[in-house]
Order: sequence, then structure tokens, then C-alpha cells
Amino acid sequence: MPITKDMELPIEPLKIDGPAVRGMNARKEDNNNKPIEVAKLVAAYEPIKAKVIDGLKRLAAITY
Amino acid sequence: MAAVVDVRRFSERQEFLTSIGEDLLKPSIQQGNLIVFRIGRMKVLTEAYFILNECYKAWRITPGHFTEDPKVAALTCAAIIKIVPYRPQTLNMAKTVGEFKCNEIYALNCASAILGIPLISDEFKEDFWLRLLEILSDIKCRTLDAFVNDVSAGQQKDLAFYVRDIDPEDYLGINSLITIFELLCSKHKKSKLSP
Repeated sequence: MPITKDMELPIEPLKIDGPAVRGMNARKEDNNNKPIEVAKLVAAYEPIKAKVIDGLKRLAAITY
Repeated sequence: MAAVVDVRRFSERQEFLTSIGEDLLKPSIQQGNLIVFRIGRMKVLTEAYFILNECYKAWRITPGHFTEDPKVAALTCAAIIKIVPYRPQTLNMAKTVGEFKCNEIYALNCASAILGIPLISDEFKEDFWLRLLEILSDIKCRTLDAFVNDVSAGQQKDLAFYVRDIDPEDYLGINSLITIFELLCSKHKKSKLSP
């Protein structure tokens, strides 16, 4: 990889283009969830609900 | 106003950032001669970091306290994205993520070194790391605009001149990076503790 001692002023954002730019911007993520079922959300939330509420209460009560 | 940083700390940090930059010379990371390391910008990058650190400390840190590692990592990344020490050889022909995101990859390399954790790991999907590169790309670091403009115009003043309030437009980027690095550190500690 070349190294340059030249600062190459001005310092400004690069305008890069090419297949990597277009490919990365257009990419799809590795994502394949099942449709969410509210009953499952409720079942998952119930056991942690008290802890969540307690944490949020502490956060909300911070006073300056 | 007191000096922003003493000569020894400055010189050590510049050497540290430069040596990590030179790691990217290794052909295993960047293939061929696809990117250019503008080593002439390393002094400015180090200055940018220390200015930003002073701005951050005035915003969020009790006087006399030192900045914690995830915050150092986040501010270093923000300074790197602003100073742009790397560029692809050919700006309009980037074929690899290594060319397109050369500064973001360098920033992650520095963050890894500062945090002492292998940031690029299999613990997360590739999507996570690509998204993190994009978050880094979106860091604007307006707080350093005056410094960068003066450096570009050859009219740089004493570093203390550029210590000011963090630009509100930078809150999201800086807060996000700190939070991400804190979570990554926490996850790394937990995974080290588990058998």
C-alpha cells in the first residue's frame, strides 16, 4: 500500500464510487424472521416486566 | 488557557495511531496497492483527537477525571472519520469494502487496540460489522469544523483555540459510538468469564 507524507489538503470527505459502493448500499441483510405473534411477546415480557418497570422508574426519577 | 496536551502524551499517541495505521499495510488486510495511507495527516489526526477529547470532557466529564476507554475509542474514531487519513487509489473504482470503507476500517482497528478486544469477531453476523462501518461513515464531527478549515487553509492556531462546546449535531454520533463500544466491551467481558 502506498504511503504519502503529503497532507493532500484540503481535508474533506471522500466522494467514492464503484461496484463496492453500489453493492454495499443495495445489499440485503441476512434476515428471515417468523411473523411476530403478540401472545409470544406477552409471554416473553411477563417474566421480566417487574425488572423493566423498576429500571425505568429509577431512570425516570433522576433529578437535576 | 492551559496546553491541550503535553508533548510526551501527544508524541506517544501519534506513534500509536501511526503504528496501527501501518498494520493496514499488511497484505492480508488490504489487497495490493488499493489504498493510500496519508501518513502526513497523522499529526493533524492526533491534534484533532485531543481537541475533541477536551471538548467532550468539558461536556460530560467531571474536571480532573480521565476519559474512559470506550469514550477514547469513540472520539478517536470520530477524529479519524473527520481527518480521512486513507483514500482509495482510484476514487471512482472501489471494488472492495476495504477501499470503500478504508477510514472506517482503520477506525475499527484503532478502537480494537484502545479497548483491547478483537472487534471483528464471529460473535456477530457480517451485517453487524457492515452496519457499524456505515455508522462510522455518518459521523460528521462538526465540532472539529473550525480546526479542519484552518488546517486546510494553512492558518492553524493553537489547539486551545478550537476547544469549544460539542456541536449538538454531533450528540447522536458520539453517544451512539460510545454506547456501541460499551456494549461490545461488556459482551467481551461476559464471554471471557463464561466457561
